[in-house]
Amino acid sequence: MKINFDIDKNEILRYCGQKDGEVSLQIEQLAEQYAEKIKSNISPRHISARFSVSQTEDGVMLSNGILLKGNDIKYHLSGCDECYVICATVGVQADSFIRSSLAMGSLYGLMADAAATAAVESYCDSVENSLRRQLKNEKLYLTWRYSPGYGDFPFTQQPEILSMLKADKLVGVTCNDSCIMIPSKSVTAVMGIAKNKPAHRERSCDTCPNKDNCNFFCIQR
Amino acid sequence: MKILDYIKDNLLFLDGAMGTVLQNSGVDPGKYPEAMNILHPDVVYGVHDAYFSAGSKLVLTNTFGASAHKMAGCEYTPQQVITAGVEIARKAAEKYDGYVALDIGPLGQLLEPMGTLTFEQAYEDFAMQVKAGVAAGADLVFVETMTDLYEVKAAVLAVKENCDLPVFTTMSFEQNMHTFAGTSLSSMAITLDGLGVDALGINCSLGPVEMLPMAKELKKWTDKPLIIKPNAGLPCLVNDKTVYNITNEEFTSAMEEIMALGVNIVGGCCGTNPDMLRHFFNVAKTRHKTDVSARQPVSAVCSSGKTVVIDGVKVIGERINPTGKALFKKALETGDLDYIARQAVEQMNAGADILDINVGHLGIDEKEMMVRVVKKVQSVCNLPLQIDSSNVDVIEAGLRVCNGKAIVNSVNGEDEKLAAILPVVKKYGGAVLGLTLDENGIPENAETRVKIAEKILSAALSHGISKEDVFIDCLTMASSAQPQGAMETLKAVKAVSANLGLKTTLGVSNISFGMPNRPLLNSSFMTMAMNNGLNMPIINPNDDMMMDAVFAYNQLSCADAGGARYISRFAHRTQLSRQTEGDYTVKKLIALGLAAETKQAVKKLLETTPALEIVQNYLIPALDVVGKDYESGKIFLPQLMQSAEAAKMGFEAINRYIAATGNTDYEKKGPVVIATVKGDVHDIGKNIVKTVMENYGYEVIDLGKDVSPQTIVTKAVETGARLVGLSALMTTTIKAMEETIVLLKESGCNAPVMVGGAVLTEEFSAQIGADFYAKDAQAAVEIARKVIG
Repeated sequence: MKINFDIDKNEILRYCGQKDGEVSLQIEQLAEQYAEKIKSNISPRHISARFSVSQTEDGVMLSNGILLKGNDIKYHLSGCDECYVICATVGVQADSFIRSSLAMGSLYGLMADAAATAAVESYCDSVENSLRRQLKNEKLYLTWRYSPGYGDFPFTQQPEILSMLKADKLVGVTCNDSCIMIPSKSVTAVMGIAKNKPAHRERSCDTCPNKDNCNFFCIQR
Repeated sequence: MKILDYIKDNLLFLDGAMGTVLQNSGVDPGKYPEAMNILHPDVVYGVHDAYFSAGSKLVLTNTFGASAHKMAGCEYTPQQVITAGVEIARKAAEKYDGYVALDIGPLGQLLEPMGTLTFEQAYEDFAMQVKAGVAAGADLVFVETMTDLYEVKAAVLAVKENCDLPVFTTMSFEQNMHTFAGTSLSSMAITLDGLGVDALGINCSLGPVEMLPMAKELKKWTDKPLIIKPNAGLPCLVNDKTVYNITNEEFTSAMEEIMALGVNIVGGCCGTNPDMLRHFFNVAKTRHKTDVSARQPVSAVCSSGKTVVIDGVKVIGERINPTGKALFKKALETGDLDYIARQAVEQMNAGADILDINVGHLGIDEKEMMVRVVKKVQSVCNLPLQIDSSNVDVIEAGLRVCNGKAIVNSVNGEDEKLAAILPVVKKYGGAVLGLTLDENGIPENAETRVKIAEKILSAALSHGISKEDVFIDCLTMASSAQPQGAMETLKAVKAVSANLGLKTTLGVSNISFGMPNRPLLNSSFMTMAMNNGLNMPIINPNDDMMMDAVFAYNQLSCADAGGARYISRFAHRTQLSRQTEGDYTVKKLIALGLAAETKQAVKKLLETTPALEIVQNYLIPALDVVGKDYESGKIFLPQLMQSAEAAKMGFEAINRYIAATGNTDYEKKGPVVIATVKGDVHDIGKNIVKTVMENYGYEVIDLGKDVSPQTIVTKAVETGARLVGLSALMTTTIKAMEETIVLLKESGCNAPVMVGGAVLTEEFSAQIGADFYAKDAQAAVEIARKVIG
């Protein structure tokens, strides 16, 4: 499945910590450059798998017997009979690019890192939308991406999720003993599949568990 | 018959999937499929037997995951499952007069720089597996399903240095013709051919249809026997089951096409089974072994992802070399590899094709430094390397850890040099650069230099190094000292290139030594040399005039097809618009974040003003203004960092001045030891703190990322740190941060600890025992001011 996606310089600036306010011409040009450069330094790929789900006391049980733990994932998947679990990455090339940019100075490392984040997020958006379009044919709806580490969905479930997706073999994503994924610009996420439009679960800053401690304002931009 | 004799005259049929068939055997292989060698040997035997009976001549032992890391937690050791695995396969092979290959898969941990496993440790892990397999009686070693060329290199060396068995290697490629780790087909072929594997190829990941174009590509780069061992089509995930959906007929017909190319070692990987292979072998066995058609050999070197073919003119960057560079020497003395990394990336961005690495400097351990610098450089840049030393041990150490095929700089016509260095070049599959001088010095005339080149060539050939891998440097003489020197050098270049058919290099800039307007002489001489057959000028790629001349030559000589590279170099050479009109002060330049301009302005100030005064009255106040703007939300992180980078260039001008003049009225404060804690690999934030703190005059000792508590404590004590800074980005690594703080306090190190990172808060920092919480780099500076002054 060919997925097209864009990389927006404003997203790069946002991931760099730029908030509302004046951006200097040079910083803006730098962000434009990195939006361009990152394109030749990624190798995006993803894998998705569809499971039926059932709510348990401790979380949500997938049809393969894996329990996704926590109340927040229960809430995210409430009213869903199925879910998609995905893993997407822009590849180790992005990490090489970040390392070589960082070697030229922290500013460039920061820009490259932000550009790679913007790339993987934009890629995930496209993957998500493409799955949403497919489900539309089945008259089904898709919630948004919920990842290990959000709310009380434990970050430590990362290895289990990668392993059930065979992410190592199929998309080249592994994780270290601290559950940090390699390549670093990789995402795993769970999206609910619902028969009815999940209006109460629109993605927003208000529902984000990190809202008090956030630098990014992902949604309300 | 030994396996290598067998493949001389025969097609070799390998087996198919082990895992797929085990899964269908009715016994759950569980977490450690290799343990079945001990728990259910009959089931494993059954798989081998089924493949032999289907027509396989060679089977791979059930030891794919028998590495220390993957077997951790299993009640059996890797050695135990390897011994049992080889014995089972041996038993099955005897019945059919077949061969047994010790199967070695990836270690399950990523190597540096992607992961944290060192090359040396990977070698040790593979050596353990090899020794166990050899002791148990394997006929050969089969290294397979690899995605990282560096890991393959460690495995191949482990085989070659621990036994006499043949080694076959295959890697797994994606449809973009690269592995997940970014290794290209050409780089794999060139590197493994050089390392002397006995057969190489591709397995897993793709089906035979997708592998056909890859087999064609491989044939361009090597004459080694090729192996193709595909999956049963492209895998897809249905729910959580991997499904393959090619028919026996489709598999066979695609494999037939591959074999027609001259691929003589074939089998199957995931999703294949004895039935599918029986179908294929029944058709394939009517074929005869087809010999590899002669290809045109090329001169080429490579990194893991980039192959540089020496056609047209390719530039070797000379900047990683301490000769005459005060700051570079300082970096070597203090182990500041970040400085050296920047030199590498600068040259790559300037258009260099290959980087020379020379770290020879009095008072440092050159061998150890060569290893560290090679690793550092290849972690930030993907260019092939040229290992430059006069010491054979240093050369070997550099070649060993180089991920790809490198050039060795250098040998010359002295018998002793040739005898010492050429075997090392051969062992690691490098190319070699030969200088046309010998015991009698540098011959004045071209003829004698060409004779020495001939001698070097014949010595290389006798060591099994091919002609394409011998490069000759005819030596540039200063035209001020030897007015005829330039023409003699050119004559020699022409003869070596045209008559001997060898590729040539020249260190160019020596030509202008002692003359005015050196850039003009350098580029004129280089252009003349290129026209006489110079292939690889060794120059400073940051010198635009020289690089422009190379691009122009390649365009005019049609080496640059359609002038694409020339056009792209010059079409976009428009300077970014800059707000530089007017004569700005250092303060203003830093506020605007203009790095090059700041450096110039500080250089100018140094003519009239003491270094200390510049720091105190210009640089620090400028940074304070920017810092306050950041605090108040007037500017944000990118702009703060832009100013920090500009100030850093100002400091670099000062450091260069101090290193050159020995002036010491400005001294750094500290030291501050900083690190990203064990298990955490995020280092952007930590590097930002480093940059900003250094700008405020603190000596920052950066231990890097994923640093163990013990290393941090040892360094903090050893350096007498006044402050320790720890960074962690994930909730999972906060624990390592806490452990580090506990260990620091226990060790009696009384430097306060400051911590920072996305998931930390003031409150949380206090809970884990930190003395200070730094919410950002500016806050870290305030803490340092409080603690150190």
